[in-house]
Amino acid sequence: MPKGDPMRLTGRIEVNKVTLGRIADDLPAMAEEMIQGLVEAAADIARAMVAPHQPIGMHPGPHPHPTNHTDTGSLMESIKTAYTPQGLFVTGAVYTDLEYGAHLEYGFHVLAKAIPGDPTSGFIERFYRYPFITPAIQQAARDLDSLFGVTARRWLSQQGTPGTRKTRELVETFVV
Amino acid sequence: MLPVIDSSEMLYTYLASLSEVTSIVGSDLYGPPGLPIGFVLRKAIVFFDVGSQYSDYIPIDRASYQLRCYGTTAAEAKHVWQVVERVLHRVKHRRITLAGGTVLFQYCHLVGGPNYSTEPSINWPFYGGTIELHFAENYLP
Repeated sequence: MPKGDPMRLTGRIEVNKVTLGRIADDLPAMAEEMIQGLVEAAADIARAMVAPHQPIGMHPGPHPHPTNHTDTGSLMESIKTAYTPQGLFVTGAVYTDLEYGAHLEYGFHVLAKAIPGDPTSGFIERFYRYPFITPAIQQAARDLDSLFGVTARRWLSQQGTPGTRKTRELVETFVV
Repeated sequence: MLPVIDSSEMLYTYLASLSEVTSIVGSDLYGPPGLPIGFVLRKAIVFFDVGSQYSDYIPIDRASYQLRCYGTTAAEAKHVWQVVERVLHRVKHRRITLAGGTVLFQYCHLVGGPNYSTEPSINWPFYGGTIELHFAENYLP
């Protein structure tokens, strides 16, 4: 969540162009292709995690649902990706601007014995949490070696350079 | 096999050792899984683990936490946040004694936020942000 901005849940993935530069000449294009592939894979996983399934009301979120509602698919549709060259890094992002996405990701409390309209009247009964961005990035990052390996091998074979370097050192992930 | 360092224990121990923190929230400092059952709204600090990463090449672990500061009003929550940010942001090189040994807490910084929000179903105000801790992956000898 950038300082001062409206609440946006962002999963961030960075590729270090300096490290990448040791193995490839045309690094910006290669880094961009890698990061695009990674954030799209992460976004697909995140969307699947919050997709409304049948029967209606089964997904997403903790069960049983603490509120009576119908899953509309809004959260799934709100998940977007972006990538930006920033200095030494290419940064990819998976994000949602829906505030309840952040509450699902980080969790929220539910009160017992609360008087409606008086937030100081109740006490904590339960804590619910349903992370969907962090696990999606972690899952996508687990497939990093094969995704980056394929991309790197193609680029490096075009340059005639053997692609032997471990790809995992090129990437850092954050969720903010 | 070397014991794994519990970064939540490290963060809790560090914050609980600071008079700036305890003077404002007393013992209302909670790690995962959040506020305890029966808690009534007052000034409090809660942190949740978000994820962690290790390095392939250097013995440093990084752990991310979402930090929330509650208060009975937005202003009170903000005041708690300011105190916590002051003691955590860019802090470096602290030795912290945990149950399993002494750990080297190398660095902490704010990577997201702070943002003001309210709990969706109960309207409790809080300031939240994401911090990242860097610490040596093994206990000090």
